[in-house]
Amino acid sequence: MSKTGREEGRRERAAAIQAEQARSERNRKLALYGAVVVVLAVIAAAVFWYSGGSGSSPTTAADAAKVPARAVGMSGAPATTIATTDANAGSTPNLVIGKASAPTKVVVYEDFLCPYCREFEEASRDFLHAAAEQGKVEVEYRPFHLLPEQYSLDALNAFSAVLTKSSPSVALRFHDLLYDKQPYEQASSFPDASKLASWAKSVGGDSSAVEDAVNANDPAFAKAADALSTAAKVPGTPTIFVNGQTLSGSSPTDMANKLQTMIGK
Amino acid sequence: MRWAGTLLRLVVGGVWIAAGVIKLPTPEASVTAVRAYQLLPLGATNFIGHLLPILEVAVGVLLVLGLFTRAAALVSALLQVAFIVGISSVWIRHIPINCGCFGDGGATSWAQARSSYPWELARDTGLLLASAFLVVWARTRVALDGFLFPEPTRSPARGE
Repeated sequence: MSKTGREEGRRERAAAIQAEQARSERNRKLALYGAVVVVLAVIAAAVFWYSGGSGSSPTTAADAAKVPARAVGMSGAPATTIATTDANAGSTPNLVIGKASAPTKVVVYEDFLCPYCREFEEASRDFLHAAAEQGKVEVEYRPFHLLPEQYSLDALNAFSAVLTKSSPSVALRFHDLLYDKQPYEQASSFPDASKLASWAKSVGGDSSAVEDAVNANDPAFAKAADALSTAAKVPGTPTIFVNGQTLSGSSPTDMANKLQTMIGK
Repeated sequence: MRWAGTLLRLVVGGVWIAAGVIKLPTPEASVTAVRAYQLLPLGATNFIGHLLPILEVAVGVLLVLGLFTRAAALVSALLQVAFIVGISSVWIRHIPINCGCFGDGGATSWAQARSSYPWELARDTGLLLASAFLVVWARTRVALDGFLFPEPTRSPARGE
């Protein structure tokens, strides 16, 4: 074997070792890259899941049925306390959930089109339902017509129709659904009577009653509701009274968190 | 150049972490901020509102650590483009809102909004340029990228 032959053999072996090193280095990088990506993805997914990013679970029929709900008359009801009798329940009732014996009484003034009301509802719904079921809280929802848009009134009339023609349980689910489906305040087109009727039907309400009520555009419910908010000197929405005291907070979520602490989870 | 990149990483990453951490505990407020732009399809707002704070913190942490710098800077730049489009859009449509950049999104007065929009756009443009810089020159000093994925050592023989 010549000297050059040996030289070539050595060079080939060296090249093979280098190629092997490069390959293992590449594999190491890939493995490391993959591992870091997986760890980051798991952390992000965990936080996302924890924050309820997949959306708040829609109230199921079974859930809603467990929450005690009833309708109370709002004419003549004291503005900042719950009307405890159905004596004056007429054509304009409000929705109340929870037991009358509950130690904490909450009154919620809201508008179905108000964005901050949507936030308060989404942040408070789950724990309020649970606390109402456990007898810890009684909540009276007093939706009224604050925003000038016709949809605010349409949603109110639809809600009133569900409350009077169907049942308080169905009204609770419809109330929650109206916030889940809330349109933008400056939408180019708002959900119409038939859309509201189909939403009512999806939670077990009477769709034709809703469609008729929205089309009739009777201001009676809104008038009674607005009178209540005026009497309570409600400055805006959402306004929440807890045992007669105004609930304050830096944001609707903050208000919901404070309310949860007051009720005791 | 590489030290300049490090500085930009820390500044942009720090801003992202601050913006995200404020919003993380109140996802519903984040959804309100997203909805205030009245831009996205309604069905997407819940998802985006919950996702944004997490994405912001993730991008911020990656930038500060200098890990996957180019990818993180690219996401950072794309988010800034989205924010610039969003703020321009509410300005043009005369919708007065707080940008919700650092929490506290939602409606405000038009006078307040009109005086804020130019500054917010200027800030986001600056952050966009800094992010773009990092996309182009992703190798910076004191970065995990350099530690985990060292550049092939250059043999002096080949020269620079």
